[in-house]
Amino acid sequence: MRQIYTLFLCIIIVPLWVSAQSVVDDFYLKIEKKLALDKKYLNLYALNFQATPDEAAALGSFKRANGESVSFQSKENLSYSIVLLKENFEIDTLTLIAVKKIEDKAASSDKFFSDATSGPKTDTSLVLTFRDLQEMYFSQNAAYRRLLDFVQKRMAQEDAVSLLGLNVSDKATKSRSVTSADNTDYLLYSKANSIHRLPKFSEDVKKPAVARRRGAQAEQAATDNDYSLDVSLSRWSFAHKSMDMPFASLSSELSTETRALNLTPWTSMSLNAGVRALFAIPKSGVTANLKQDFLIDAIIGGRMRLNTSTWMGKIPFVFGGKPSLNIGPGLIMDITGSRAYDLPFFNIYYAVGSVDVSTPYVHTGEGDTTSAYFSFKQWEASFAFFWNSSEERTLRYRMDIGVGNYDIYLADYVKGKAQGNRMIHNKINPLVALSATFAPQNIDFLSMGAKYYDGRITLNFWLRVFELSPNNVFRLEAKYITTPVMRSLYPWESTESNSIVQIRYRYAM
Amino acid sequence: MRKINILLGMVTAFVFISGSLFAQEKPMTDYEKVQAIYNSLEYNTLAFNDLKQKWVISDPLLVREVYNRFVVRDALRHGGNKMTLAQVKERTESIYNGSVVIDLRKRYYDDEIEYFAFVPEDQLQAENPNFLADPVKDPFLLQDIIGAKLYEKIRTQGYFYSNLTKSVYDTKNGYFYDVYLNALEPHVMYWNTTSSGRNKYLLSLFGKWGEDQLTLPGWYSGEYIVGTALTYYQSITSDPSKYLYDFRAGIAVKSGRPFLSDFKGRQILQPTGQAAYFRASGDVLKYIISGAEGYYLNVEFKYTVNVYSAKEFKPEFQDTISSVRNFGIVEIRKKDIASLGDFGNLEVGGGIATSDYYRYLISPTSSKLTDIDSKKGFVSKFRHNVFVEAGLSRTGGLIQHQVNFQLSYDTEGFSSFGVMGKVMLSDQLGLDLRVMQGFGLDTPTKRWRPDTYIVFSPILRINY
Repeated sequence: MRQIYTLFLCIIIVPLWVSAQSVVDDFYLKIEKKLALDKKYLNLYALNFQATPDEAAALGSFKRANGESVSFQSKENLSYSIVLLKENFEIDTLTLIAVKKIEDKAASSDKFFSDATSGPKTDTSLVLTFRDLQEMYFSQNAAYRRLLDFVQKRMAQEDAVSLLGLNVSDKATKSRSVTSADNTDYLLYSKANSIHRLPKFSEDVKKPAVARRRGAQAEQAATDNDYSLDVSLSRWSFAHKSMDMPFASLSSELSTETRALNLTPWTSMSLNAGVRALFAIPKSGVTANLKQDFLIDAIIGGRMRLNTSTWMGKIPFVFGGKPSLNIGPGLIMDITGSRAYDLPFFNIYYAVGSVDVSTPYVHTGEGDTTSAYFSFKQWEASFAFFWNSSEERTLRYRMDIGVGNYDIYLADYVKGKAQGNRMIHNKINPLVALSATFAPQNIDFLSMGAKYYDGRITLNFWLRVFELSPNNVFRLEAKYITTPVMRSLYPWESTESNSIVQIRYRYAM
Repeated sequence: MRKINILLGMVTAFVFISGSLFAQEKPMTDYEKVQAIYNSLEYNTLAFNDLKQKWVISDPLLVREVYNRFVVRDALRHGGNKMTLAQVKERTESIYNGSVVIDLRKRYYDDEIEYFAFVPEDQLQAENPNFLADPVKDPFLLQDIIGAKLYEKIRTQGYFYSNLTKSVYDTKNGYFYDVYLNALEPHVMYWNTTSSGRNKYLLSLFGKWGEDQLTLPGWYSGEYIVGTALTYYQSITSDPSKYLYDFRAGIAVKSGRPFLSDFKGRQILQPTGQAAYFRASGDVLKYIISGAEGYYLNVEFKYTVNVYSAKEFKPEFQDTISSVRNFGIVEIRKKDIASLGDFGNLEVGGGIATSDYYRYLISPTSSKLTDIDSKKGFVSKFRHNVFVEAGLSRTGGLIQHQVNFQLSYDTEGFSSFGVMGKVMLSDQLGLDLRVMQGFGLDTPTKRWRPDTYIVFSPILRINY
């Protein structure tokens, strides 16, 4: 009976034990292969040390799974690295994974001068494998306990080095697109879209790890030039470094554009000249920091009348109907402010002049009795919001929301003499504008925008077409203003949509 | 001898029953310990498991090819043990049938395959699938089994596959700025501050076109209310409708309309004077009535202080214009009554409203508006209505919505039924659609009302 039981037990237990052992062996192989091949993803630590004679003696010898004996040695050219796994969800104790011996052959060489041409001469060998250590652990070998105690004591004095090869923070991106709490987005937008030069500022744009293109170098060098230019067929700007002051940066501009009236350049029959000043008012201290300071970007200028009505149809880059609105001369103020008191960026444009209807450039009606439409005052006030598609800021968005207004006067003439005038229109209209700038690797490449104001949609577009040499950039630009949508045509408005296509040249911008 | 036999019998019995008897307390076996170490070697990315790239190989020939590599390398395991020939043959039948797919997942921080499993098609969605063989959770082991070339082919997805990677739709409410463009009720949050580090005071500009509770949807009103709002959140929340209180003050301005039709003889309501608008809303009843948490009280009114002169309307001939000059609304709304899963949370509301109705005669020869119903007193120009609403709202996730059904009945016999729905995609793009059907429109004072209203507006929201 006893033999039967013994046999029965052997039949049940031995295969179970053999099977379990083979599964454990299977894991040993898997783990050792993973330790050898998975160079980046392992969350292991290494305790590197040179054993003192006392430590080497205290650690004693270890018996490997194959029966060999190994022991720590104390030599000047010999160091050890104990690879370990710290406590985690599944394992509640420090686990020894492997012990490596690192021998500096060069240091042990008899030669006074090492051979620099043959490279480093360290020799790393695995003295205790995972299987060796784990078998020791399972058999409750005192040597394993000694080594573990040694590691724990050592770790109380110095940190083990992480062997994780991943840069985890690189992938720690926000799940949503980003916006900057300081002036960065505004400055980047201005750098790409404004005709005025910006002083140098740290852009802090997270760039992909690829080689920079030639254009990028040009951007970097841009602010080192003595002067900068932005020239197109509708607007020009010039800045010289002598116009840069510690508290402000100045530049000048000439323009044929008129805001708040839905007119393309040249059709507004006016020429604006002004000075642009970028002030940085430090929040604390006296040193200017464009990204943190309160910025005021202001253009102060004047507007004079320019009779371009007869040119329309002859200027090859302006398309659309002839102008029928006279713009009065006057003063222009265009002020942008950064986030004062945590308010959004704001923009205020105000153009005003005295009411003078004596000499219109364009009339309506024929014969002795005619009329003319004038606008003497225009303004816009808006908030601007910025955001980006990602931390790389490849796609940069800007949205403007606000209101605008312009006045319209109707003047009557008999034989060319003004008989009187009256205001016939003075409405406040909402405005919404959205623009997107595509700037891969921080190179301003393309921009598109749309604005809805006073029943018309204005579309803007530019594309960086070529760069002759560093700092000489050419862009293709277009602007298109639709006919009124969802309202009828005002009598002073062109019956056709208007557009302009031009080339812009930017030097050292 | 007998004692030894008894002892051996007990040992045998112990072998069989100990596994289940001491299952809760038994220490880890060697196998389990080594397995735990194996599972712990990699950098833990548990928090990203649902965002890792996932896909399924369903091409039967490719599945067969990969499976065969496992057979050749004797790498098929079941419960950690090698499979017997009989087990392999049995499982291979499913491969012949083409009913097995390979379920795959990539590591989060690199492109290696961290999960590989042969799964019967019908088990793919099961919580604990009945795998054909133990899943392989080590890219280098997998590479060793199926070969570097085939591993690379699978890793780079150079074949037809079904992508199952989850996209992230983050719809958390931001308090840096909030631009909500909806022609019917836009707002732009332009300033915020906090006094305790948890709460938020927000200042916004707002617009409002139409009054649902008065059955006056926007588009049909020549009046737009604009003003500023102060909203207070006791603690920041991902649901913007969970404020403690919200005060609004504004004025009414003339508005255009996105169409040029004349409503077939019906008149558009016009603002006929300078008007002030106020609204107070909040979860404040809990401070008055115990247990009334989540009952939002809304009080809203408009008061027109003067009468415009006729030249404001630039009449070219004598005409009649209509105007709702004053109104008041009191509403109680209970939010989050019950959760209906993906349909959202149930909410109900109801209240009373009162509004007046004026008809004016305008003429190019007169500088004043002439009140046609001047014989009626101020109070008698008011009509009152009761309304009830029930709806569903959902925030978060890919799609957010708010749908409300409204029934309204007024003291002059006019009643209406309406549906007001807002749907947003990822809380960025959406549509606001409101449809109302009126009944009892035969009285002359209702001639400005169409019997059916349909108004809509696209929505664009930029929120950080």
